[in-house]
Amino acid sequence: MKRQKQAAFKFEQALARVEQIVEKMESGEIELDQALALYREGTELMAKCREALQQVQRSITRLTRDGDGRLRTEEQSTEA
Amino acid sequence: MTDNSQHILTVSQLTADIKRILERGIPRSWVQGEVSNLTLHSSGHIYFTLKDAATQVRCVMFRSNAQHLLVLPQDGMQVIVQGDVTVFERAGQYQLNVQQLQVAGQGELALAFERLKKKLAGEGLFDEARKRSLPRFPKAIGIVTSPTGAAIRDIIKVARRRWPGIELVLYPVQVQGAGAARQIADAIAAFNEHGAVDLLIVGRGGGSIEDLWAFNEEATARAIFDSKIPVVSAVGHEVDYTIADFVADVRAPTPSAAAEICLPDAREVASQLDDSLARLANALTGLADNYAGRLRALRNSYGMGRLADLCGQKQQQLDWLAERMAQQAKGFLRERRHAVERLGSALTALDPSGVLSRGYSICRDAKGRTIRTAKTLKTGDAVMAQFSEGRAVLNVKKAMP
Repeated sequence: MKRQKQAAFKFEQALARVEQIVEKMESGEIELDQALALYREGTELMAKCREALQQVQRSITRLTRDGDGRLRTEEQSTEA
Repeated sequence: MTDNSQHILTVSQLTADIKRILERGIPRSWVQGEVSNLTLHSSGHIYFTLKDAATQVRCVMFRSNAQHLLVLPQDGMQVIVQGDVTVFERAGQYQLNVQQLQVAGQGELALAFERLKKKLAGEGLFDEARKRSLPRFPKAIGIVTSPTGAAIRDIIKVARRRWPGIELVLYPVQVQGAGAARQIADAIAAFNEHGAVDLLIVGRGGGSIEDLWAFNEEATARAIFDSKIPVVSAVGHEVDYTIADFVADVRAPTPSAAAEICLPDAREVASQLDDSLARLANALTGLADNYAGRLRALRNSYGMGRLADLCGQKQQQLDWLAERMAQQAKGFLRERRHAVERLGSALTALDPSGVLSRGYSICRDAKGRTIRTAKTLKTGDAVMAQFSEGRAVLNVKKAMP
């Protein structure tokens, strides 16, 4: 569930889009209603980016191979 | 054939005698020579021949001893071994059962390093053109190192400081000793099979050149080369260069530095976002100001003035027209009133009582119908004559139509 949500949101793409929106807005060559739509899109993307920045992982995953050669993963806390 | 059968030995007996004599007669010794015909058996045992210019001796190093090796011997390498002379009975061959093996001086390691470096460079493993750039914002990082070393602690600490949401996946391996290179290679392959990480950090903390040797082995180098996932090498300290560093897409001077290289600083990105938000708000305000300014300018422009003037003119014209229409309407009404008055006097003229008052009279028959002709009258008919004042019944004496 967590992974799906993260996969759907690509931080790098979101940040690139924000940059693009800011540049377009700053160019001034834009209709007012388009500007409002871009402003809304930009602020929504930024909120999502900020949410991603505020996530905290408290464990690491151990990847190992079992006796049958199958890969296994296991969560392991890294809290001090 | 001799008559004393007591002195006839079987091959096995002879070999057993030789074995006993050799094994008891030659104490554990240190021997130096050049390694050749090296075989690393999957069982973990190592077989090779130790030779000098004149002769050679077979050597075996069993797994129990080989697993402590930091540096695996390589063909052409000068080594010093400590071992016991034994006899391999099946083959009837004497051999050295090697307990310890050391590379004969740092020069030998440097030579081995250069040999492998040259070979792999020749095969294109170090080509800059094939090196991949790292993702700017990785979601998950795979780590190949010891689960108990300083490297993993440093990587976790720095990674979590820079990007608290980063997913870290550790494939625990031995990072030194015989078999370490094999484990490292397997771990890299496992991550490629697993597929859930965006890049790999392969490394360990500092140590002697022997400690770091697993990262100078061909198996490690080839696994890094074969990885579909970009690899960051992070071996030892700043000054340590390994073959793994040459093959990796990016060399980090230390494990901590690897975490720094792989991850952006979340605080910097946050302040960049703040900056973007401010710019966005400024741009929107600027845009709104710009539109407002344009609107003001438009209102004050000559064109707009002309338009206002035009409106005034039209308004005036409209007023004038309305005035005229009102006047015309008034005239029209006056005319109508006069016409009505004229009609009124005309109607008065037609009033029969007016005619009677001038001396005329009207005759009506018995049914009250006005008589307009004498043709319908017969002698003796009674007619009613009306005068201006009063009426009279008259009898017809004679009709004259």
